[in-house]
Amino acid sequence: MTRARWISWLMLAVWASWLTAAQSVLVAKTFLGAWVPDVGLLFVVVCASRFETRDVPRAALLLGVVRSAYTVESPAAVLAGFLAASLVVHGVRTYADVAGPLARAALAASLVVLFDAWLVVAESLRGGADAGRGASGVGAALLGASPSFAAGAIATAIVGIAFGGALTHLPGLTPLRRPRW
Amino acid sequence: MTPSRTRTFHWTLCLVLALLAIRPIALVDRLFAIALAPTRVLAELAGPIGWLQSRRVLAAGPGDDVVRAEVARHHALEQAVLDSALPSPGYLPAGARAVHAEVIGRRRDDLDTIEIRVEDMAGLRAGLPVVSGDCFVGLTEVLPDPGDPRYRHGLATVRLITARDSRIGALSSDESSGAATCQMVVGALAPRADALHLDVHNPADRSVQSGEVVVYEPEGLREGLAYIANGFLLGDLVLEPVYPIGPRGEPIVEERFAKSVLGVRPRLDYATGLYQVLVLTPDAGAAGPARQREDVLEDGLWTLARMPLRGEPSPWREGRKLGIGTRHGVRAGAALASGARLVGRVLRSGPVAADVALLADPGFSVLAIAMVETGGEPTAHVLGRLRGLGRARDGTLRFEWPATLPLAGAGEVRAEIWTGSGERGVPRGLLIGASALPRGAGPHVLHVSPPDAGAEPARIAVRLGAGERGS
Repeated sequence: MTRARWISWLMLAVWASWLTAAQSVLVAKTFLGAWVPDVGLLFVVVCASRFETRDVPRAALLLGVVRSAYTVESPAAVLAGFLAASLVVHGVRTYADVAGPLARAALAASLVVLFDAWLVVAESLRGGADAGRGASGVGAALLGASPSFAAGAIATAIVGIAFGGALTHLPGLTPLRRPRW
Repeated sequence: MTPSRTRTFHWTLCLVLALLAIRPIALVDRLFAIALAPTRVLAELAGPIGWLQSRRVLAAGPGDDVVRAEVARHHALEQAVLDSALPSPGYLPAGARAVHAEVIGRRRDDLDTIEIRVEDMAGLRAGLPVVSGDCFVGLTEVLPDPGDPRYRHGLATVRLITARDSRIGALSSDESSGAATCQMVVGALAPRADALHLDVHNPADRSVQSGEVVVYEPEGLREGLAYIANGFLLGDLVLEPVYPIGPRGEPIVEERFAKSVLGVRPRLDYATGLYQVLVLTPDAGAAGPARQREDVLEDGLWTLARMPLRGEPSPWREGRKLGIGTRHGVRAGAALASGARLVGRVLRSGPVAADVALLADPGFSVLAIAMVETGGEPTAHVLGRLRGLGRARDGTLRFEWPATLPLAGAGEVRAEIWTGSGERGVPRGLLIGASALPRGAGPHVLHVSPPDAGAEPARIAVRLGAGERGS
């Protein structure tokens, strides 16, 4: 791997880290809460639609690791969710153009709902595996968290339309980007 | 690798990760924690966002006078909780000595054995009866030798009466006249899935189906020392129809499937409501008030915790990352506190960082006790385990309370809710908040108002070495 690509991977981690940190603060400390877009997952969608095929799973795992640095969700659940999301987008990419703003927004919104639901289900099924947590029913947990799914999906779609394209044009990411013909 | 093989590999990896997420393996979780330890650097990179936030949080912290008042209430509660182990006058037989002990945990692989920390190990041995208030709890198991470090810390185990192999002689009596009605043997759990009742074996008179049941070990059969607890309550004799449980976990309520089961409905919550107990010994001496222990807020087992960023990307979670981990003595289950307030608990602990669930995190779980305001002095009522349901729209914390020991009567009563004992890493007497407790059989959903409207305090301390010296 060239030095430029190493630096590019590092920059991807740094940008993702800053965006996830900003997302965390906005979710926790503003009245917007659930209406904060999931920029981490949007980044996965954008990377999966614009990066070289071989780099897509790597980018998803790297973004998952970055998210794990900020969330108390199980790292395995986050990594599985991000990897699955990238593989889905990459699969769709072979049949349709997912780099356009509308397709990107639609994919991001759908994946936010699925990813959030997956995290809730995984946490419920883990039950009391973590200290200080009790087991809860999957249905009740999904019902309790579901209002935030829709809000997060809408917000992510809007940000995806407006700024999604800019994410892969962040400084330092050019070596990872697939050139457009 | 061909593209097809690569795709298969990635989907397989995805599946393995998903399985590890829902069926965690402790060793793999530890490896994840070690592998992800360097990601703490990433959180440090987001420092500027954290600096802006911490100034804002600091401004919302409670004043010193508020903290002092809460600590004073904590001390008053602590004494009330310690004294809750004492039986009513007349229960303790003449010539017996009662040694105070605190429940500090439960064996993970055997929920019918509790671990206690005894105030004075002198004269204690296996087979001594253990009581809480007026109720019988179980018998001490093999105690450590004087040379064992566990002896110095006063650590012992108690086999509960709910254990499969536990048996004790008992006597039922008519509640109105007080006359003895039937001898029996009580022990283990009755075969019913809908309630935790003690099983009844060999009743002398099978027509007796109700009454108060107390320990009764005839003195002529002094094989053990359980007779010291004669007269202590086991519960109420009940004969109730029990229905089989269907495939979806719901009882099939049909008369043709009903089976009458004789059992003893305990007046203790053996599953989650055992906090303070007394070990009874045949040595002479009276049970005095429980000695005030070392203040759990000042016992040197706390360290200030740093949170690189006070946020969480998932909107339905209220979790935080802690900047210290197992290398600093932070263990899973440890409490986080600010003054005498409970702030959260450690979910997982890695070498240099830990995951924390705050009180409002759905699924947050803690053993609790309520100081019920009934007009005079507040009285302690064991709540057992509360499970968090998240934050309500009005900012209150929602908790599911099973009410295994319900409050008698109807309506609601105001109460302050504090942590109980019996859970490693969570000391007794940390304030959770105030709530209206519904009376009557549960389960209930409590809306708990946290102190200071739930503002996250600036200075947070974490309990170190969860379980190493008990709670």
